[in-house]
Amino acid sequence: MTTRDLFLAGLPDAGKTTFIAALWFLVFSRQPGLALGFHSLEDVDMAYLDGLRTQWVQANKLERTKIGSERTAVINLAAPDGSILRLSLEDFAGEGFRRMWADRRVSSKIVEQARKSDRHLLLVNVGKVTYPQTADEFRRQLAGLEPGKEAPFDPRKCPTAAQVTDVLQTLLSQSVAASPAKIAVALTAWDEVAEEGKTPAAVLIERLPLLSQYLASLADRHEIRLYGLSCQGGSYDAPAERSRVLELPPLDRLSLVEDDPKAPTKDLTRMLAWLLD
Amino acid sequence: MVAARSCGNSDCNFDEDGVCVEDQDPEICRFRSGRVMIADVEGDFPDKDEGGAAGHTEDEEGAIDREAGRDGEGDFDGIHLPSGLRLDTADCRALREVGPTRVVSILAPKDAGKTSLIAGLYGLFLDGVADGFSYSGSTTLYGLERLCHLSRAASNRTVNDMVRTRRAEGLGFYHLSIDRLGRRLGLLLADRPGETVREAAHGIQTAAALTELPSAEIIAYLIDGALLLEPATRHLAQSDAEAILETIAAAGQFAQRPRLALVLTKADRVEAAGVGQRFDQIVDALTRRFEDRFAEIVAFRTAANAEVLEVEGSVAGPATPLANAATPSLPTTDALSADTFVSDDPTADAPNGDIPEDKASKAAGLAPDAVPLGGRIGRGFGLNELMIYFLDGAAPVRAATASTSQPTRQYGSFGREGARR
Repeated sequence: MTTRDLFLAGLPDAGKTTFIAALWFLVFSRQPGLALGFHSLEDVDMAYLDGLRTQWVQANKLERTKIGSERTAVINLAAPDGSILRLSLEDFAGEGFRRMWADRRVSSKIVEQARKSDRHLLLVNVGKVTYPQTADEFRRQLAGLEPGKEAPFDPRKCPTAAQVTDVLQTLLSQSVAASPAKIAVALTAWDEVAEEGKTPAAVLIERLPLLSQYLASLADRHEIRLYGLSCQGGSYDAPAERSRVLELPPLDRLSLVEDDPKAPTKDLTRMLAWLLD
Repeated sequence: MVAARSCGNSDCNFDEDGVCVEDQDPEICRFRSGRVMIADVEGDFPDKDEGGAAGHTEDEEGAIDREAGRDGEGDFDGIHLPSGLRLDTADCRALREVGPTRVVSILAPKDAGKTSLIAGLYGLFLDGVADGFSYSGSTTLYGLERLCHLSRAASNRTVNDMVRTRRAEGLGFYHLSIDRLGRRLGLLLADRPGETVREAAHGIQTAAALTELPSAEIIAYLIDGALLLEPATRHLAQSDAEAILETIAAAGQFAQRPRLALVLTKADRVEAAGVGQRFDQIVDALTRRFEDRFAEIVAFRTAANAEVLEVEGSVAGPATPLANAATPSLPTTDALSADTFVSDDPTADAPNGDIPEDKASKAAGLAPDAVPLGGRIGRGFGLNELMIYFLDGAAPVRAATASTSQPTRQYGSFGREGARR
């Protein structure tokens, strides 16, 4: 059995916990033809994964992971060649990554895990992007309405592209010194942009150009792939949308887009198969 | 019992006199927010302008803190990261040892638009309108974001403004690592308060205090477009430039014959007022006077924010973040594409910083030539050309055109001169 640590990174609301829940549901459902299938149960407390599964199946919004309450998911996967892959995934709180940007500090746990894992999966929610909107644009948007009181600089309100790029820079810097051979960047909430028919690369360039450029610059040192990823099938904020999702078979909520936006797959393990290969 | 100080800056007596020595709103001053202690800042500047041996990059400082177990907070188990704010000269030296790096000194009297210019250059990447080059890293991303705050909707302001570099902040550098034509170059944009630039004209001693100049390959001298609009100040811009540059030259600061970029700021307002020729006259005068002091003198016309959209009566800025409007007919940063222009930079073939193109193209959908797109309208103009000048270390010229002898004069794409030569 080969053990692989996958380092899962992303700001709050990136969808890390939802990804773990959906992945576990998919694998544990023993669907045939998966790139990486279910192999066996690990002899550990499964309450965490089981809890995620039950919440996810009911289309409940999963509680945000809090700092100090991080859990590790261990999933034994079977590769097509018969080998067994023990996947270990730490569900870090997104706030831990946000603090890297906003508070200029990083926890030892994140540092240790980032260094230990030579495969990184960065999740970025393309449905919740803060853009660098200018004050002039803001004025036009207000259309004569009074703005609120002038607000001090709050790094948490900076553009998403700057925050995510800086987090990735920091992980790869001498400070944290992670050196993953492969980095997958999954654009989550893909269902919100799928209708545009664009590739993940095109969506990234359009919505997060700074990150797109930075990733391109890393190509001489790391293997990088982009994915569009939907683990919920829609937003659960609107009751009508959640009801629509609940009408679907759970697996139909899943969608992974690689290069061709017209050929999504439900098999999320394809991304892991590339990442962990 | 002594009451705890509310301010982390030991030079500030806010608790006694209610005055913030940083000239900030006390509610938002970083020293009072509890996040920054003066020691942290001084730690970023171990040998300010002295060339001492410490020379740790911010990354290294973070590593040293980690090894030493200095986490600075009782129950925090982790490491403190570099501040992400401006670098000092020691940081810059360390960066220059790592890879090809170029220092660009931005000289601008107070209110000339230096901060807007730096923010605008950064915005080329953030807005996805950089054309011919792309972002490959920055150790000062946090500082650049902080710089932009007053021009952002997040500030609740309705007019773009900029955080001014205060005198107490002294010299600092913003860092951008940029890929262009298969090469990677670190750009260090030297930033100092406008007051100290203006005071360079007070004498050779004060001019000699601008310690970043000897290491700068390019001097970007900013001509404040707002001064050209008013009868009372229209001649001041030229007079100031002559006095400042002459005194700095007399101090021997241009001994290396750097390149001089004369950069008109707020050019949208200048052109809207129909007084663009005033800038031409300044360029002519400065070129005649200083042509033997610089390797070349090149002029650029820039505007760093969206006001140009209104002035031109063209497409208003996007009301929604991703308004993918057609490019308005602006005098914008039309492409200087890599295959159309060549550089006469003698260092263009330098081996350091080469990027293996085969590897670069392997990134799925992330080949560098696919990068400089974006869904936003560019907010300013002239900045893309200026950045290319900074990167190439020479004015871009058309491939079919032989390099001109030095000194040369070239103009940006906006104004009476029309297209780039």
